[in-house]
Amino acid sequence: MNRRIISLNTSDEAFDLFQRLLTPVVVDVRGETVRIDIGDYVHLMDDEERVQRIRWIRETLVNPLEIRRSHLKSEPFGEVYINTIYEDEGDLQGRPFVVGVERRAGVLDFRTAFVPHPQYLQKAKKGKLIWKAKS
Amino acid sequence: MESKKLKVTYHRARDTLYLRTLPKRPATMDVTDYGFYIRYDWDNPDEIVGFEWLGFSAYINTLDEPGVIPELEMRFDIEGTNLKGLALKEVLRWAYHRYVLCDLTAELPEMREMVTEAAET
Repeated sequence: MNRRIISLNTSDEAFDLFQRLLTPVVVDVRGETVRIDIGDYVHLMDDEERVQRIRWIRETLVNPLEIRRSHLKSEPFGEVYINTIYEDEGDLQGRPFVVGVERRAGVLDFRTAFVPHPQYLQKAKKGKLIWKAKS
Repeated sequence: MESKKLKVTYHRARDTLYLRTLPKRPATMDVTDYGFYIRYDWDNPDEIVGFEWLGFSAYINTLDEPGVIPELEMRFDIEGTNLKGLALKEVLRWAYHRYVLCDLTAELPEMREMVTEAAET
């Protein structure tokens, strides 16, 4: 399986990248449309580790390792894209990255994106597997 | 017990509450089974540096149910207010009054007492 090597962006680049790469929609690996609007940028912009990973959001939607149904009781219609992304060729470990969406009336809406704590991944794996990349 | 200074922000359009200890630090995220996100310091995965609640107003009524928010001994001073030494649950009740109900008296001392009484009952 190919390593997903995606560089971080600077904070100054973030808004332009967000508009170009993510809005108004991203077609995910299944061919489904994920809606993302400017309001979603507000969710990302105050956290350095999120705003530097605009490219990672797109990569995770279009080229994830797996997609699972959300394990959260509060998000019965949530789906979680899980990935491991490497910052450059010299990055041997990579970092897990997660994008959460919600399915409403057959359409997917962006909810959140973050670098998960190790405990999170253990919990996320409890969600039903919807899609998995071929190894 | 030492209180941490806390920045509280509510994004009404997304109904999301953001709590960040100051100074802000990059973080990785965990979540309770009820969708309450916990931010851990990027370099120290045992240190909590914030919280996030998507669907805040929709789920605030679950606040007292076991497991919805983590049980912590941490205390917080809310930035820009006189509120000091609040438990997480008190911060969340205050934020609901201040940002969802737009109750501008939420920062008065009486509100502090009300928050405390509500938490005790």
